[in-house]
Amino acid sequence: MKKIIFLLLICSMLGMLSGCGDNKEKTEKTDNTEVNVSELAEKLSTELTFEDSLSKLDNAVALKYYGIDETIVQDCAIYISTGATAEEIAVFEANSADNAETILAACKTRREKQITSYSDYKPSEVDRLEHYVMVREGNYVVFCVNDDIDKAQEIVNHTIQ
Amino acid sequence: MTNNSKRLARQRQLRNRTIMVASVTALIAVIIIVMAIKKGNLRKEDKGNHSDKNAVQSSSNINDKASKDNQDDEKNSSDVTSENSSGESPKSEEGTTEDTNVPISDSEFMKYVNYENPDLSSKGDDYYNTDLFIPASVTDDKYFDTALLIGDSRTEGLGLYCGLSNLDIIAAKGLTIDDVMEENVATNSAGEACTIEALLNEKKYDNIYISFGLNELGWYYYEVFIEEYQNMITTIRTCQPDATIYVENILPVSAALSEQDEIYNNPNVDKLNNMTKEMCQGYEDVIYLDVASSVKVDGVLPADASTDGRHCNAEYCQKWMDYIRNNVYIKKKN
Repeated sequence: MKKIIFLLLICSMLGMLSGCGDNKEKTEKTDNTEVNVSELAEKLSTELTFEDSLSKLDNAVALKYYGIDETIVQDCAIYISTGATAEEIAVFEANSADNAETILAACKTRREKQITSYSDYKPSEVDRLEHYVMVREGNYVVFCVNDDIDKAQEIVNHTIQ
Repeated sequence: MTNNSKRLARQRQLRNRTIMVASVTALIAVIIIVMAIKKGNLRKEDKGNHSDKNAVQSSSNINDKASKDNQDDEKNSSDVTSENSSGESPKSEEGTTEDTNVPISDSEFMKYVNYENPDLSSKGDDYYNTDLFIPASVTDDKYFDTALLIGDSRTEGLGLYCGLSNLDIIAAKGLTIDDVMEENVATNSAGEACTIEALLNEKKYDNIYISFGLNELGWYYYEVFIEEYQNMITTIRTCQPDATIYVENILPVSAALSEQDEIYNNPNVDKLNNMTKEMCQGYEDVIYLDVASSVKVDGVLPADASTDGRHCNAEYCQKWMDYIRNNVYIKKKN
């Protein structure tokens, strides 16, 4: 009887430890996934339909374009259109939540300036700029202009929320 | 069972119970420790905060050059080196000269060009004063540390796709030759919006590239475009007497767009380009740069170069930038 109890105890201990291990793995997985910025940006670029051709920018050029100090950015991936449309993808990982707020503000400014630029140049793009996702989750910021914002939001939610 | 054996049995029972309790306690302790470690791993490390500068700039101009080396304002030396017929390096040195056909300059950007044996295979229909300039090519993109690009949405795309963060660009959608010098499209050293003239009075450039014409194809009088261009060149020359000014011609549009659009078509592009080239030929020291030849195939912008027939994608912007790299002109002194 005692041996049986002892055996049960050991089994439950092992079971709990392995359970903890799984959670840790999930935690680690979540920590890593914490979003691979490039993968998320690429996912948005491939799974959404864009009217214009989007190309990934050199990070230094992209941050300069957005007016973001590169020292606050851990990683980023930005896809810009040729200019024929206002479609865009920008995914950032800041090095702190406060800096993520700064980046979010830069994305808002970017969108406002695009509205100003396109208002005379190509007014139809101003309507497109109403279809966007702009999210900050922890240290991550995502800005995406695309007609199918539901799908864009779903991709973003699935990855970072 | 005797009392003794009963006592022994009880003691044995007690001992076993003790062992069991101790095991359970140890098990619980292990579980608690494991859970505590797990929670400890959840917390991210805070990374050091850096300065929280929010240097937002206008999307139409990029003038920050954080990585640019400071350099003194240096003008081209008035001395020339001697040219050795065996091909001795004409690298510029101040001092005595025997031949005036070799350029001499101690400007920083001269380190990043090849004027001895540049690759001229990609050269298009450029115009330059052969008495004043020799062709060269860029060997290091640090050449662009002291370069400025001014233009419309096409130049905006070029600046984004060329991958050069050391390049100064003043470009915006819809910008035209008649308002570019009037509006506050540039940013000064204090981060404030300013005119191009104000910027040029503050910051020295060795090479200035200008690209307009697409947005002006619908103008009734192309002569007005030329006049405005001349005014712009005069202002730039006044502010930057030593900069080499490149007037880039207009890239073609796609065949599809050209066929169906009364304004944005290649006959109009060609007409305005011819007038622009003629304008440059009236100057001693302005370069007409045939960047259109870098992207043109059978007289048009290829269908795969653009989604709207006007704005080049990354691949074709790279071709455009490569033309700029391979077709540089260095001043020589007569």
